[in-house]
Amino acid sequence: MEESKLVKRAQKGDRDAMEALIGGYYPLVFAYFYKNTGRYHQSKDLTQEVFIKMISGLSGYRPRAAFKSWLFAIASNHLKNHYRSASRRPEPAELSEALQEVLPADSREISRAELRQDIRAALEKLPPEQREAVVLRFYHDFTPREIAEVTGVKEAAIKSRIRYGLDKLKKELEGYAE
Amino acid sequence: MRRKNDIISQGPSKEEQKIIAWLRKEPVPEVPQEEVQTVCRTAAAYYTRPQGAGDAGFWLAALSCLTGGTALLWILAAFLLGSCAALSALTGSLEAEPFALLIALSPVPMLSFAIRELQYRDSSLVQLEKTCKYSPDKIYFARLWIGMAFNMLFVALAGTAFPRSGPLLKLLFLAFTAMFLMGAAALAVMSFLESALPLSLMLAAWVPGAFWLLCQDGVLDLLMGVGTGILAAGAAAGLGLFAAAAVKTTKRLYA
Repeated sequence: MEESKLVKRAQKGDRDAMEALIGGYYPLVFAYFYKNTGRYHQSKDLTQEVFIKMISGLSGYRPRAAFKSWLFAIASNHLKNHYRSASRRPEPAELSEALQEVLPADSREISRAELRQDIRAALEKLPPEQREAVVLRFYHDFTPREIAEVTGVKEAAIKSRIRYGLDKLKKELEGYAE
Repeated sequence: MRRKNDIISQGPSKEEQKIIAWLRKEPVPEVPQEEVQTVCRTAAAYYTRPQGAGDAGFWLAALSCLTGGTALLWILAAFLLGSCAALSALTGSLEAEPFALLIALSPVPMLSFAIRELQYRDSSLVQLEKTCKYSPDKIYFARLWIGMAFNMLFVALAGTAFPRSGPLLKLLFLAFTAMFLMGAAALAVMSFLESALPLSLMLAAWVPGAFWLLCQDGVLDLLMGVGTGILAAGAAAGLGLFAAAAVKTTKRLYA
């Protein structure tokens, strides 16, 4: 069913439509948090909280902005709040059990696994705002203008964040990128 | 060296394209379907009936933003005002000056409303409100006036229950002036100190302080001796101050 109809039905209290919306967007929102935090369980919690916020604010949504942008604006604010509260009381490290990989058999597999780990580590080294812009741009395919709408930051600043973020990633992954 | 934002104008370099491709390929662990279903059910359970009134008009939307807790506070404040009025009307032995009581208690509903508004103001919800149909600052402004209108109604109703030992109109103007001035002061405090504690202290200090002052020999007589027109002008000036404070606070809180 068309997304706008689904949203309208959900706004009228149709639970099936709400569930379809949440089910449809869950992987995207989860991936957004996972790529930004690198923590599986924490990303699941943050995703659930975003959908609760989405439902709480659903009646106020007007199709002036794309639903995806509206939802990601909630997610982006939630991520900022999460960083803020995490800086006040640091959380214990999380075992990335979902990504624990079985030791690869051949050397090609080993280097792929290493590359993945290094990408993860390079992403984690980026300042949160650059990481968010890079993830939204290259993983979620948002345009800089859309990212500006989602984050409430000027488009020029978003372009700079993407630029600096990519430069840093390039430096971190120098050995691979050549 | 390439310019700062050339990734947008000229496109990424070869190395950057490689990195972008790796970023896209970086695996994201899957969440079991049952867990997603649980999230669906949990989130859907948060959908409440007032939200269904998404197409409500402006004033209805502003009213529906007033929480059950606010209504409860108002009911308590109305009960307090009403019972004090009834008590002093029924018992001639009460030493407390009923007029002073009404004037001292008149800003209680508005101040308790302001405290509640501040205490439960969540920054992430404010961000969320910004995406809503009506601008949140207008809704907040409307809520302040709804709060003040209810406060005036409570005071007027309580005033009519007092013994008719003096001109009711003068009493109401004095109570309204106290209410507007305290409302304006509360809003001014709210816009500079984003904490509910100073408001609670104001409320705690105002009621006994004002009551004590008004019970001093001659103070109330002096006030009641002032002409009705001057008292009305004082109330109008207080209203103007409250309106200005409401505009300023709303702009500051929703900047």
